[in-house]
Amino acid sequence: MKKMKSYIKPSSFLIFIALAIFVALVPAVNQGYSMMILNLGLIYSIATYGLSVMLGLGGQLSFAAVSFMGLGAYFTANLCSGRLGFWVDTSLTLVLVLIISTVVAFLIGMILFRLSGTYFTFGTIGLVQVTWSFYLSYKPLFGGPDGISNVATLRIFGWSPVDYNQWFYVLVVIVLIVAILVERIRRSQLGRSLSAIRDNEIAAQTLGINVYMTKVIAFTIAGVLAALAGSLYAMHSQFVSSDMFTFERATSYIIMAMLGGVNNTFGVFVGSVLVTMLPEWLRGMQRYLQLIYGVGVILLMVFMPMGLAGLAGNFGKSIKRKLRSAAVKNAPAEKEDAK
Amino acid sequence: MNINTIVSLAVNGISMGMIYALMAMGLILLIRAIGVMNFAQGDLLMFGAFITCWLTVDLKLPLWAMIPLSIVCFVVVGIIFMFTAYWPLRNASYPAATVISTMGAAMALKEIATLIWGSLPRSMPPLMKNPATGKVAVLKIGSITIQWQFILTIIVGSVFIYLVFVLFDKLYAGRMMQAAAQDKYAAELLGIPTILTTMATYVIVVALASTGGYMIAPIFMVSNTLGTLQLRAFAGVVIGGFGNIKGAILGSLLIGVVEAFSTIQFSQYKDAVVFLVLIVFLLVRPQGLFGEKIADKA
Amino acid sequence: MLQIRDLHAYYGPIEALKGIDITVKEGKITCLIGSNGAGKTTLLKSISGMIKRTGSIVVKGDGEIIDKNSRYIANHRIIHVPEGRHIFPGLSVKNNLEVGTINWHGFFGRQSYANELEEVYSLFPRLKERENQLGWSLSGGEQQMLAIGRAMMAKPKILMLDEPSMGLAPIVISELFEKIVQINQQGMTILLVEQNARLALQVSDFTYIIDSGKGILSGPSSDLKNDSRVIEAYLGKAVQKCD
Repeated sequence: MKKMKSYIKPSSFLIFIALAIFVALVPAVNQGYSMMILNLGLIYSIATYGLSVMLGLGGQLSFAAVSFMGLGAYFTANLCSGRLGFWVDTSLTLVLVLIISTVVAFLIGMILFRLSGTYFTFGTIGLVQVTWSFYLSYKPLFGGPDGISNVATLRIFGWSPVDYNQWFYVLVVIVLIVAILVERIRRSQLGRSLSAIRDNEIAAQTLGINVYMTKVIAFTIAGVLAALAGSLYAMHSQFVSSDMFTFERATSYIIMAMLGGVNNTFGVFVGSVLVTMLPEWLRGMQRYLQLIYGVGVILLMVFMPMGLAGLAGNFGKSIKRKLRSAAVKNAPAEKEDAK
Repeated sequence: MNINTIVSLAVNGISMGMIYALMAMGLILLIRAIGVMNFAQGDLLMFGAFITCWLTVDLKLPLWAMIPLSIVCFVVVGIIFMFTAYWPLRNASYPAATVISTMGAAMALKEIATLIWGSLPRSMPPLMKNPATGKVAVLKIGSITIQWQFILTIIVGSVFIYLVFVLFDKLYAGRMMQAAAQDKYAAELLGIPTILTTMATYVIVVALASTGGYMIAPIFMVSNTLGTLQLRAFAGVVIGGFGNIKGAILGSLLIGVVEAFSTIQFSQYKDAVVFLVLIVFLLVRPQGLFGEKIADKA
Repeated sequence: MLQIRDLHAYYGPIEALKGIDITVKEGKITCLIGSNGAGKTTLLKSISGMIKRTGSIVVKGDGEIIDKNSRYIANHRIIHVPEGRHIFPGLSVKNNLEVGTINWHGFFGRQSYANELEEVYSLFPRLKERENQLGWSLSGGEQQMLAIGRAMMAKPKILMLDEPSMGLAPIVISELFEKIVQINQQGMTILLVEQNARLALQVSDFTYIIDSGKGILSGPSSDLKNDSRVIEAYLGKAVQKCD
């Protein structure tokens, strides 16, 4: 509880209240299909949190999130659908996914970070294409173009969510844990090292930071979070197919991160939910959806590269400035009165 | 595995490689001129394919009318693209912002194409038909059969590549464009209109990608998913050595050939094969075939 | 040739020049010295139109240029050779020089610039030796010569040099400055910005000293050279009087 105190600033308090209202109201308003979409937004935000550690903190543009989502999703799908001839309990599967993805992400990170900067980014593009190709075509493990269905849903201590509303609560808890984790990373030694690397890699090296290992660790974290998201996706939608893991989907995660503000923990959540829900809210404008989306992304980069969080930050700063200058205007008048 | 298959695959591969090379050249020109990777390159190809398909199939224009009209379209698209995806961000402090805005432009392009021409894939007749049979024209050498349109693609691609090189090496205007790309500040101090040179670069890039689209339209169907081909061009650029045009062309041709030959064994996994080659290349020789000393724009 | 009055220049909200008056006389070398951050480069950028400025800059034969853009100014033969040389690294020496002709040659012009090229080569023979070498492979001194040669190709009526001595070895600097004097003797009006105060005072006819965006002293270089204030501030106390 002591550590919680350091997070209680006015803005955090506001966020907490907003979140509480959100959690309380949403299930009342949303049901069924829209709840499912919202849940997907929450699931995607977990992967986006991983991305924000890589891109926001570390400045490394990586498309690999979808590869690891696939890893988590297909692993879960295989173990929890009985298609391999046996069933594994879903909670156990989750734990297994976490362990295996840590190892795999670490190894792949070790390989990919032998490349730097843009080369690394292209390496992740290559990775995505390779994994997608296998996800699409290799029937024995990935079900080919038809994917894998009949995945069991989550079971913890004998309880399973019976509808999307109950899934919502489960996901909110998980997302909250992930968000707090990411926030703690941001403020930790690791987070500071990553920021140093983002700002000036060579200078970071001269400060004694092990740039290579720091990047690999960040990549591993991102990979594990993505795999977790994939696993939850499999259990939530009870169906996995390869078009969740394409290059195009990878770009949408990057946009989710940028929309909310890639360096703001709350922003990442908002960005993911917005990007996922937007197509639903704009249902009527289905025809123009992608166009609005695309133009919106450009406008976003032009006017708000720091995302909505940046906008909110600027807004907050300009209010503070106005309050301060108003205070200054009043002060001399008071002095005069005192005379 | 007979000689027919080998030659056929090779021609096929080089022909596809040419199309990737046209995109790759455009990518390098843009990297040099504005310093960022254009993730909308594939969709420029897609858009060009739609435009040429529209001019050829819908308006039924003969070749001599289609070409100048398509050039006009490319100019318009190039200028609009430049002023939406690049211009507002030219002074951006966050380089990733420009890259991401190209991703947005890619989405917008897909949707605009769908809005104008509908979402159904369209087919385009082969570039070269046998006047007698009305089917695809083929060249027969002994027992080897090659579709003429692949050869045409190789020829057209080579011509365009040659023209670009002539522009930049031989023409005065091309050297001014290179100067503006290499050091915008110094170029402006000497009086070079850098806005115009950047526009010219964009128009050339759009023209290259669109020509690729035109060549590819009869082979694949024209649909808004053509954009994914850009990933091959990215691979070509990286393999060739970042920033090096000759390398990018060779790298793209290599990718095309690898892709073609991988259909023998791993037909469904040709993506995996191609990109494994990329990853291996990155690890073994990151500077590419003709690595340059300075790859990234600082 | 060039008359500047009450020049204010801005980097965004920051005012870098706060009312500068300078006269550049035709056919003479006028130099501008001052410590780092005084505003010397800003002044050149104000003349060449690269930053926001107010006031008055009048050029003989062209009138007021304070509101003109950089392309107009370059086209009217006022050429700024920037600090740090900024040669085109991927172009050959010959092509670098060629780029200088843009403002009178035009994109699709057909005029020959062979004469201008010959003149530059006779001024800087080293460049002719390295005619086909790419810009990035030249030494610092050669790059500086290339930058100046490129500016000469533009047939300037006013040549503005920003810290040509920066980063160069002393022997290279003296060779370079000999050339600068030679260019001036052929009739070129030169505005020289330098951090190397001694050198600047030596070669120039008139000197302006600025500090923190404001003009402090000015006068014929021969006078200022021996002015004790200048010696103390910019030339160092222990130095003998220059001749």
